[in-house]
Amino acid sequence: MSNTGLLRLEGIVTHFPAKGAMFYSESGALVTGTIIHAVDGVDLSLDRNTTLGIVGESGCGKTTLAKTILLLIKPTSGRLYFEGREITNLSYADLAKIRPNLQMIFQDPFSSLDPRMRAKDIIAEPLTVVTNDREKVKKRVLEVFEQVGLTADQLNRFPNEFSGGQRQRISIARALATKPKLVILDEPTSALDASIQAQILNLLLDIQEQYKVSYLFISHNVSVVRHMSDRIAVMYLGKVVEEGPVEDLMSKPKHPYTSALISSIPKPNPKARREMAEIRGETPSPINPPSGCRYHTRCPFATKLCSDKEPQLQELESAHLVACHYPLNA
Amino acid sequence: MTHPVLEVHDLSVVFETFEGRYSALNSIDVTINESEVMGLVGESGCGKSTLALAVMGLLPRPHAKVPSGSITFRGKNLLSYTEKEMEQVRGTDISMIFQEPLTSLDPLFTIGDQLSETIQIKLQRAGGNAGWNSGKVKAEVVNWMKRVGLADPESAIERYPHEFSGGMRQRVMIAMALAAEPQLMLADEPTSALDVTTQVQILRLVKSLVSQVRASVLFISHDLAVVAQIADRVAVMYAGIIVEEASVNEIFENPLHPYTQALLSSFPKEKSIKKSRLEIIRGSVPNLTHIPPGCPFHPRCQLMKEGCSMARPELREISPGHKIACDRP
Repeated sequence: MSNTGLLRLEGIVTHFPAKGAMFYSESGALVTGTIIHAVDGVDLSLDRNTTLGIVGESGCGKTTLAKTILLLIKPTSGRLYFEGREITNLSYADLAKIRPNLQMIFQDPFSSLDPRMRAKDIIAEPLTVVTNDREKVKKRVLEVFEQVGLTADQLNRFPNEFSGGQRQRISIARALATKPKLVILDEPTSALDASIQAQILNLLLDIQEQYKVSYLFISHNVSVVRHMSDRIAVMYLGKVVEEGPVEDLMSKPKHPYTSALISSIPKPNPKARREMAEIRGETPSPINPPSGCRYHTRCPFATKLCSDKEPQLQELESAHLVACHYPLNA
Repeated sequence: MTHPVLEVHDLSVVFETFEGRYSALNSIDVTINESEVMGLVGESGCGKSTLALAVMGLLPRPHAKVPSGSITFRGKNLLSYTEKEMEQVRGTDISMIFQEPLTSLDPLFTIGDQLSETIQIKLQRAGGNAGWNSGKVKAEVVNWMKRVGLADPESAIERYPHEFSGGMRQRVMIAMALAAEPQLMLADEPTSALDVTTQVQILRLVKSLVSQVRASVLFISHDLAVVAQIADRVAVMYAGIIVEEASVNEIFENPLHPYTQALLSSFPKEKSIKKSRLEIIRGSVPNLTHIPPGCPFHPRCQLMKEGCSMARPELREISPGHKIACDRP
């Protein structure tokens, strides 16, 4: 691996037991001890000062992957490296030393800020892990607060006194306070209005330029991810089915799922109506994922090979990986 | 040809709350013609859903007040209807689908039970025997399940809402809304809770069924791209007023109101340069208790001039079928 690598995932698997899992399946058989295959063998790496976008539909494991990277959930198996050092099994104390470098911004700015804390305390909290110097904390809080476009007179306010967009700015300030090297953004603009989304995206771009921070940008909104990312990984039912540089992947998708996903994005152009392609059927359950290629149940090109043998993620062109037996645009 | 099904004229709705008086709709005019899909777009809190609820007679009383206006459906003002009269219209002549299909279906009844309700009313009106045992109702329910693309409709009607996925539930909602062959269907963000691949399926389904049933649709969405895919005409709302209305092609090719223009250019485009800064609309959506005087968009408008904060601009026709509420020439 190259020296610039910031984060590397090797075969990350995160399974959950389905709680109280005991029910009759469609065929009438009693099912017990079921497992949700949320993330099922993911290899990814992320360089410094770059953005990796992760797209996929609900239930594909995007958020579980994010939480696993932060070790908020321990992976069932696999290894996690940060700056070349394995962190999968670090002790709580050792992990606490690394944590200021890893931050996260959540989707809903209404539930991710403590309603009983003032804005300044929310932002100061992660700093107290790093330093005991009160003056330093105060200075840094003011610094990031202004950086995200808020004014000093708002420092003493509570979250309910801010609008959705402003709250997301507070979340960003909180994540930035410790000068992290990696920020995971889990649907950061999905809860915001259209006119506010652009403000927040611009702010995130400015911050990246200034702090040289890496982003893991998770979203179901492919247009936003395309705009923000250097590379994109497409997830389907717990697996990465394709990963590559933004332009390549968007203009010449190689996996049939990526292709279908891109063409289902509605375009703000009434003349492009016919271009929308339809994927038949629904996403299967991650409790009992299909055999072989997980997309074979919905794929128009699937053959017997696809249901028998699982395709591995392979490099087809430089830095463009795909897990498909019959890749498109090859 | 352009025969109006619904005419909303000078409609205002205010909500009296402890926090103050929210003016959700401020003297708006909308007309929906026969077999037309009218897209209504705007950000949260602009009054889109309030308009739909007002048409359905479902405004929360006693907090909601209608100080002015009329809603004319088939030549009669719906606002003058009693609750009993409204019940005759609601769900059959005017139906509605909502964003979250799980909360709009009753968890305690089977899909078949819920769908048969509107079908029974329809058959009763046609003067037929509408008992479940007559077989007619069941046949019609199964037929509708097929029409909305549910696999294995005979067994699906015996199942409960929780056994279906989000997309499937929305299909059931669509069947319920269209089974009585309404003249008007109100769709309030029907695909916003769905994944993009499911969204495509649902948009196609709504489109084809609506033209089969020949219903008019008020399609509410915050997503301009979705509206571009389905609407014939589009009205753009901001802070309780309609700021622009035109055919779908006009709105996207030749937007004239500064808000519509700004909204369209704030989206990341296919061809925009990666990581380039997006055009923004400064500030945030106004609180409905304190709507700015004059044009409500003036504090955020790039082209604001002196008169904008004085008088509210009327929605006027600039070219045939294209109206804007902006005094800028």
